[in-house]
Amino acid sequence: MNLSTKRLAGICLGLGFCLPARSGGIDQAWTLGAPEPAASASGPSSARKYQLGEAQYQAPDVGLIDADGGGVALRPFLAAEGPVLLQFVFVTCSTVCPLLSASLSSAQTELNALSGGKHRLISISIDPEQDTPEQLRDYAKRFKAGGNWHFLTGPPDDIKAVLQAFDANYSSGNKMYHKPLTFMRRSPDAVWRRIDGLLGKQDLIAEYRRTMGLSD
Amino acid sequence: MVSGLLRPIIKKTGPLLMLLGLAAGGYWFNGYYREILTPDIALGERLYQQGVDGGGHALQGVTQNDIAFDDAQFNCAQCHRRSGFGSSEGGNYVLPVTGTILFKPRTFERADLFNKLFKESQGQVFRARMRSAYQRPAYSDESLARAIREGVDPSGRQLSPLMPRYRLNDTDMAALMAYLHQLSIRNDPGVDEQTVYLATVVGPNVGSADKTAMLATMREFVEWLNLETQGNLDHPNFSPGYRSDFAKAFRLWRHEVWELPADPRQWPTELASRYRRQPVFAFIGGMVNGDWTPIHDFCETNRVPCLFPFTDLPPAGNTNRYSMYFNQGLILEAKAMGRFLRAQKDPEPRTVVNIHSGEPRSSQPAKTLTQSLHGDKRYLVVDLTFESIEQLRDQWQKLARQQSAPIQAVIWPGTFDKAIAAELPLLARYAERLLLPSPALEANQTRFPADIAGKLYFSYPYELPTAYHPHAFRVRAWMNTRDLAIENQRLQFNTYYALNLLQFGLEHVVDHFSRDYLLEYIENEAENQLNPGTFPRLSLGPGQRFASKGAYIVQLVNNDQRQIHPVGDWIIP
Repeated sequence: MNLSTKRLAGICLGLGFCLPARSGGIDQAWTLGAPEPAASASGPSSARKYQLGEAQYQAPDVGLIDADGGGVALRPFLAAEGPVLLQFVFVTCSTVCPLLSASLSSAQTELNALSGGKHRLISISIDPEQDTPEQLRDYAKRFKAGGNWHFLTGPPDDIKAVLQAFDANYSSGNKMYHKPLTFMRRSPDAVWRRIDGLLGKQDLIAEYRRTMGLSD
Repeated sequence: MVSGLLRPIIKKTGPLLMLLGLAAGGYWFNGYYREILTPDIALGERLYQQGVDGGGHALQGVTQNDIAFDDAQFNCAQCHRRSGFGSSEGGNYVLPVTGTILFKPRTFERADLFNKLFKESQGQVFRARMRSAYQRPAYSDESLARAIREGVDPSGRQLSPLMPRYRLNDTDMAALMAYLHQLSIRNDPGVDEQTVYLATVVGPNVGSADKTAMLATMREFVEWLNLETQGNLDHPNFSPGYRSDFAKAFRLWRHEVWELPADPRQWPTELASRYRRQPVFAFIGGMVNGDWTPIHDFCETNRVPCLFPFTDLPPAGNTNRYSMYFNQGLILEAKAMGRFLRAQKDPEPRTVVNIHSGEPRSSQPAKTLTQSLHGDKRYLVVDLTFESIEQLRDQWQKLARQQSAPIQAVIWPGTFDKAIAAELPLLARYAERLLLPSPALEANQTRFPADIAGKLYFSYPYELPTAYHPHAFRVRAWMNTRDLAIENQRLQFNTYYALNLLQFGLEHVVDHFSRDYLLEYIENEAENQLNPGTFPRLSLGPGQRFASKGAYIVQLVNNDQRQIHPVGDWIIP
């Protein structure tokens, strides 16, 4: 090969390597972005780390049990007036549920101020065989639950029906794969807002305000 | 004059004396200040596992950006787990924080991530995060302290908001660092380069049919698993499904049966001596005719997982981190009976005669029943203790004649479970209902007297024989293809379940042979591992130790003790 051919070959070779990289193929393996920008600060201006959705969920007509051992007919319970925030948790959960419940716990005072005490918080156990009313009482104490925060357990099949109704099923039927979901609804005839992800205190309050149609 | 004599001596010995003096001084200095200069690993452990700092206060900090907490339950072990190998739950991957992993640059071991990448049923966001892992250099004590306090890692990135930012003083932080430096850096005892050592504890006087059924099942399982493992070891270049990534994790199972001596008081020493000879990584199954507590306590003291022994009286109230049980046995049955009685609608007062002997399998559930009826004004509980069947007859007749209210008799036969069937007609003469635990149902091969069958109620903490569990077919097929006689289906299917969990658990830990890590896997996965149909549901969770949590109350159908039907729903006391 003469020199100009070699140069041409070199240029082709070089382009051959670089062009695909420029299109984002190879160098993606090496320049993966940071999960969070280094300068992220807390507060509503940071990137939202949860997903929002809306749907009409119809609660099944099942009888659950509250932390005092009393029966709670779920459909009429949810159909009562006032805003509702709902989460699926279980007491022995290690990572996600303590944070889900902590977000509600930390926001209680502000929520009470915003709703005039008319809202209700509901935590439904997805490990009903383990989470007896006694267990729920301890859990409620840990999160300093106020009087309008209800903890429910019940027969396993009924709990499954509730999960199904809220499109909150998890794969393999194993509770360890449950999603961190928070549901909010302004009133019994409004649509349910679905939040998939973990929320901080301000995030929760902001989403509540959005649910209630209050200005930010 | 003296100085004249001394000077040459001093000249010769002076330097030596000085060195000796310095050495002694240094030794004293070291001993005296060791307590102050060496960080306290025990404190570090307390911080990590219990969330309590050096001043005895709960951990404080902020999580999810703005949720302040003052709560010992927001401790490290909660998410990173006691083993330090992390967890994946609810779509969140919690990174491992063992000494080896933290203080080296991050590596990307596919074998470690294999389950999370390919086997767990997580969502898309989780998978995307798993595949977008980034490099970070090794932590130092300073950068790790910064990460814990401020949430910045040594690559300059913010940690996930899931990770709390803690307020810790320097002494506490140093203690935590010291603890993390040594966290899970070595394999636990009971495993070497080729072999993992396992054992099954069998007491004297165990029924030979049951013992054979359990051990034969284990023998088949271990043999077939070792064949598979040996095959993988012999063909290291055959790697479907990334198998060669796991080569470092393959271990042959060496399974021994530890037979205990006749005197239960010698069991602790016998266990200790066998363990000294060859430590085991875990115990699997096991059965004794009597109290399982000595073996339970041995496992707690030596931190050996004790997976699903066959006992109907797991120790209640003892600390339990290392033993997993199918259910709470007779205690569960007593609670279920109490629930059943409380649920009866009839408001008329009744006497509940609680019949039991002195042995724990009788007296403990009897006590639980009394407690569970406490506060229900309809039921007056009267204890009837007996040492022999004759005594039972005498006392029953005396007591029954004295009662004015209708009697419900609850009988805890203990070792008399075969003899008790003959006494039931006498008991039924004065009682409107007789409640018995499941061993009495199963011990009596002969039929119960036909005329009293309507009065007999049994607590039954198992799946009903008519229920359908698809995995039962698989397990039965596995046994049939190996010509393994199914003499005791429940026992053998449960043995298979336990072995299966152990097998998958050992696969999951790869080459990190940490007993805590094994237990954490089993806690996570018990619920979606195959339930062979012995219980309606088998599930665990972080810190849970009883996989099945309820019972039926059943009656005989047509006086055939093989046919039972429930009188209500599954009771979860």
